[in-house]
Amino acid sequence: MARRDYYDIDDILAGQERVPCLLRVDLDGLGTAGSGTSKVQRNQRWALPYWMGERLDTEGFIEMSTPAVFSKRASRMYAASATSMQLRAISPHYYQFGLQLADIVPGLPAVLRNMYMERVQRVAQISQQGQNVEGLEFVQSLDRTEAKLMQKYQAAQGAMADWQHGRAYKLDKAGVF
Amino acid sequence: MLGDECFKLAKEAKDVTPDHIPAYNEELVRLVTQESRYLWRRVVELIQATESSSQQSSSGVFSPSQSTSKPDLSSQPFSNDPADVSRSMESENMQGQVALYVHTIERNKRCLMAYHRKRAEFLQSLLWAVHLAPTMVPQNVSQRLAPEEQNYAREYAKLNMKYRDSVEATLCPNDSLDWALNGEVPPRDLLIEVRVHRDCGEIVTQSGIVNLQAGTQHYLCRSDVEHLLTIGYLEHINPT
Repeated sequence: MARRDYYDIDDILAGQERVPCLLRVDLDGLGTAGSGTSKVQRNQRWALPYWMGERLDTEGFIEMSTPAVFSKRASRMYAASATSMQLRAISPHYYQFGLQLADIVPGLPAVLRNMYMERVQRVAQISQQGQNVEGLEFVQSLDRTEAKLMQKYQAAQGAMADWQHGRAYKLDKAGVF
Repeated sequence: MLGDECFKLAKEAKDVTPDHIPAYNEELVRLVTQESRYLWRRVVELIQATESSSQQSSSGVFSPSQSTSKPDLSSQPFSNDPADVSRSMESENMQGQVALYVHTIERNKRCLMAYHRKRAEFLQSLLWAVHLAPTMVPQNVSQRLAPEEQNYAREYAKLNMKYRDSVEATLCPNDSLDWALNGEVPPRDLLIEVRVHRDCGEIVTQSGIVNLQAGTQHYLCRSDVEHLLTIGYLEHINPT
């Protein structure tokens, strides 16, 4: 299992995604600030953030089930047309969250890998073409991990052009100024 | 829900980029720490309540069918007595509640640590950009820092200077090395062409005193003017 950094912000953000859970005990403090009571009775279904769900699941206080994005049906649907999936609309932390769930959901690493391999080719293709109107829709549908990768691709392209024009060794002022 | 406040902190930490830092959200930090302290007090209360109720039932007041002294879940798994069942349910609830609170406290702590660490990393790279001179930090950035962070910046610079003073004699006895130089871009030329954007006055270079007035161009030794380049007073003109 990939080692997760305690201080990694992306890990913290991805861990906030909800998973459906079945409560085995009464729990207080789960409602939102606006609703009347915040006490949830046992044997009720409630969507908890993943960080909460995982810990309580290992201690036996709840039962966590696979979230809808990673269900078998959804995975089959996504795999059928990987490059046209709107990942940002479905789940912006798709890959990061999937990594966290990889131990629990069987077959998930293979699903993630296939999605990634297909989409990343398109990402590389688009970033190499520069300004491209057709690719705009795809770029808007990228998940966070892919978006970061795209930025790195584009920075690398820019660095190549800089080096060719002799700008690579130019001393710049720092970004804050 | 529990853990929503610290999630806001995590989102703010995400906004810290090498070029920009949002203002220190003291309100939110205080809210998260208060929530953690409140939850911890509740945990202590709940545990004390269970311990005191277990002591009471050990004296035989509640249930005559009880054989052990503490109402332990594992010791009476098949009891049909409704009082026992409800008591074990309550104890389970209490355990779950305590677990929930403890995990929320740990999550709060993680978000707080990550938030402060992101900002501290930004501060460090900022300090190296201004060549370890905290006074050269631009006004709009220092406004967004908490007083503790400004103190951190000053102490960091002082620490580096202290290290330099202690090893300079042994490491480079003859030359004077500029310890605050940013080592990210390796030097390529010895002399560089620069254009002056802001008046810097006169600087001492290896070839004498040079007057840097706005709008002029000079061909100078790299090590003499590098600190003025990163803060934007000079601009490096690259020969193509």
